[in-house]
Order: sequence, then C-alpha cells, then structure tokens
Amino acid sequence: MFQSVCTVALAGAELPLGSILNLDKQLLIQMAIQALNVLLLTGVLAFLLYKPVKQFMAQRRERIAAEIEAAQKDRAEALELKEQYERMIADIETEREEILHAAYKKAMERSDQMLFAARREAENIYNRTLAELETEKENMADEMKRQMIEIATLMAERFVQLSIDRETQDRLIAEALAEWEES
Amino acid sequence: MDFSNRYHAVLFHLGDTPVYLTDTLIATWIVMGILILLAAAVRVRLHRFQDVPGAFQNLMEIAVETMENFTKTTMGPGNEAFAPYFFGVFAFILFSNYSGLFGLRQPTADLATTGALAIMTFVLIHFRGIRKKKWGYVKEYFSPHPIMFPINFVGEISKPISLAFRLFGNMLGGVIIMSLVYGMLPLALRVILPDILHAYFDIFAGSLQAFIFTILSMTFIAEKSAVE
Amino acid sequence: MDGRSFILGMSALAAGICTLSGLGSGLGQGIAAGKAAEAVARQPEARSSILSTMLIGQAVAETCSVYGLVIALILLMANPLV
Repeated sequence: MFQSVCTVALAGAELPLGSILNLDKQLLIQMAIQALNVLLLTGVLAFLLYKPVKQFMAQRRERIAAEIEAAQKDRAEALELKEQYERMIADIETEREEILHAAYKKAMERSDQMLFAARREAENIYNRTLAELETEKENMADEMKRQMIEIATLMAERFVQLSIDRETQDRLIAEALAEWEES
Repeated sequence: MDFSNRYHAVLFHLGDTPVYLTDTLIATWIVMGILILLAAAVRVRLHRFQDVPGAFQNLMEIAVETMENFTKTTMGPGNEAFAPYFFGVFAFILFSNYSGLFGLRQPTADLATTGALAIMTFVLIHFRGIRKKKWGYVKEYFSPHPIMFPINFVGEISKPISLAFRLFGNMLGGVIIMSLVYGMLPLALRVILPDILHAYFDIFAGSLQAFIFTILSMTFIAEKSAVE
Repeated sequence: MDGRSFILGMSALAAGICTLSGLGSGLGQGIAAGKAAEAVARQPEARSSILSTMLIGQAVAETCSVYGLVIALILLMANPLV
C-alpha cells in the first residue's frame, strides 16, 4: 500500500484534482472508509472516555449517598444515646435523692431509738439507785434502831442494877422509845 | 478558489478502482487523533479524578452527564445504551465542523462522511425497530391503509438522505462561501474579515448542525422502536 | 453554438433557479421562529424546550432548500448531462 502511495504521488500527473459531489464508486469506497473511521472513533470514545467517566460518577454518587445515609444513621444513634444518657442522669439524680432521703430517715430513726434507749437506761439507773437508796436507808434505820435498842437495853440493865423498880424501868423504856419515835 | 475535496495520493487499489487519499480523510484522521488523545488523557487521569472536580474533569463530567440526560429526555427510557454512540457521533461532527477554524477542509463537507453517518443511523433505526417490534415493524409500513405503503417506504428512504444532505449542504455552503471570500480578499485582509464568517459558518452553524444531526437521529430511532 | 455550451449555460440558469427553493424554506423558518417567539412570550418558563423544538422543525424545513443547493452544485460542478 505504501509503495502504491509513493508511486502515485511521484507520478502525480495521472491524479485527478478532486471532487465536490461525484456520485460514483469512489464515493461508496470513501463512505465505507469514513464509516469505519467513525465506528472506530465512537468505540474508542465510548470505552476510553464515556464509560469510565460515567462509572466514576455513578460510583461517586453511590458513595456519597451511602456516606450521607451513614451520617444520618450515626446522628440518629447519637441523638438516641444522648437522650438515653440524659434519662440516666435524671434517674441517677432521683435515685441519689431517694438514697439520701432514706439514709436521713434511717439516721433519724436510729438516733431517736438511741436517745430513747439512753433515756430509758438513765431512768432505769435512776430508779434502781433510788431503790437502793431506799433500802439502804431502811437498813440504816433498822440498824440504828437495833443499836439504840441495844444501848437502851444496856442502859436499862444499868438502871436495873441501880435498883429501880420494874415499873419505873418500863416507864423509862417507854419514854425513851417514845422520844426516839418522835425523833 | 478551489473548494473541491482534493486528491493527494492513491491509498490502494480496490479491484481496478484507485482509492484516493482526500482532504476529508486527512482532516478526519486529525480530528480522530485529537479526540482519541483526549479520551486517552481522560483514561490515564481517571485514577487521579477527585470528588471535587478540577477544570478538566469538570468539563468531561459535564459532557458525559449532559449527553446522558439528553439521551434520556429525547429517546425516552430503555434507550440509554445509545448515549455512548451518540456521544461519539456528536463529538466527531462538532470537532469536524470546528476544524474549519484551523484551515482544514471540514470532513463533514464531504458526502462520504455525512453519508456514512446517515447510513449508520439508518441501520440503527431499522435494526432497532425490527428487534423491538418484530412483526409490528412490517405492519407499520401498511399502517393506516395498504395504499400508503409507497409513501411510508419513500419516507423511510428519505430519512438518511435528508440527514446526510442537510449536514453536507450546510457545511459545503460554508466552505464555498469561505473560499470565495478568501479568494476575493488580498492577503493582508485575510486575517480579520473572515473571522465573522468563521464564527457563523463554523461555530454557530457547525454546533447547530451537529446538534440537529444527533437529535434527529435519536428521534428517528426512538420513534421507530417505540412500542405502543 | 454547440450543444455542450448550451447545456452548460442552461445548467447555470437552472442552478440559479434552484436557489429559489430557499424561498419556501426561508418563509417556513420565519413563521416557525415567529410562532416560537409567541410561545416564549406566553410561556417563558418553557423557553429551552420551545427553542429546541423550533430548531428541529427549522432543520427539517431547511432540508428542501439544502436539496436545492445540492442540485445547484451538481449542475455546476458535476453536471451529469455533459
């Protein structure tokens, strides 16, 4: 083919000048060549330019859509979490209040109880002491009475020894007893 | 004042017919090279594409997304597979039309290019129609009444012809007028004055014709494959 | 006057007449643009879809004038009669 190009180019004389509109066999051949050219160009453009760019754009669209969806989901999740935490914090607040209240109440109760018990114990001690004192007093009075009787008996014996009659002796004892009673 | 599609050499012989290397072929291969380089640049840089796009990436994304939405709104659901094909066709026609700005003869100002594009659309229309509708495809030619068959048939045939000649005629008209103007002007004036014509014929008409070729192809295909 | 010159001259004349096909399509495109302007004035929010519909319609209407151009070009450049 190259050789034929060269030979004809050199022997340019036999080459027609050109054509504008010749409806001949040459037109059909040129048409076929141009059809091949256009098909080739279309194929190359479609496979090198159109489809990759389209695919790229489709992928990007998909990715961005997915990202937006994920972001929305994350946001919804975060909102839910926030709400949950807020609720939990509110719960904790009330719980704290309750615990404090319960502890206060318990402490109050306990202190009341303790106070009551202490008071009762004090009362007991007081009562017991009073009773003890009473018995002590009684004991002492008895003792004193006995000693007095002993002393009186001794004195009486002495008086008797000093020969006093029985009547005087009795009267004296009675007087002494009365005196003692009075005191 | 030469606005013909010049022959530069003979590529090869098919039977006894020589196949010429034309202006159209050279311009086509330049446009293809630029577009393939662009595609390769995208492919190589794709792994460096980021979520926040830069200028180049942004441009590519806008192009792809616009084509995707455009296909969806024009052809309806179920025809998204055509988006890459029409992306390539639209890019090729647009860059071909703009190549006039750089002194090339637009490949679309040659019936071979537009005819090839139109025939590809024609094949897609009927291939898709037969695959989608099966028996209903044949019935459609006799649809209101069997008498209408010739009109329907000619209507189908005229679709690719009108597609091809619309693009070809618009671009060739631009080429002829531009070359006439260039032939008229002295060398010193060739810089400024034709700019306005370039802006109209290459940029405005070029974008519009690329758009119209694409949208008409889409409409034809979608219309033929729509199942009632 | 030989036949060939006659055919060439007549072809040039025919090419000129072919440009008359632009008349109808120009009229049609103008009407379409006017209606589109009315539609935009009535419904400014549907501007983009009106614009694209108008462009498609105009492109289809342009077909016949493009046919005229192509036939004129064939007559001038690739005359099948000579």
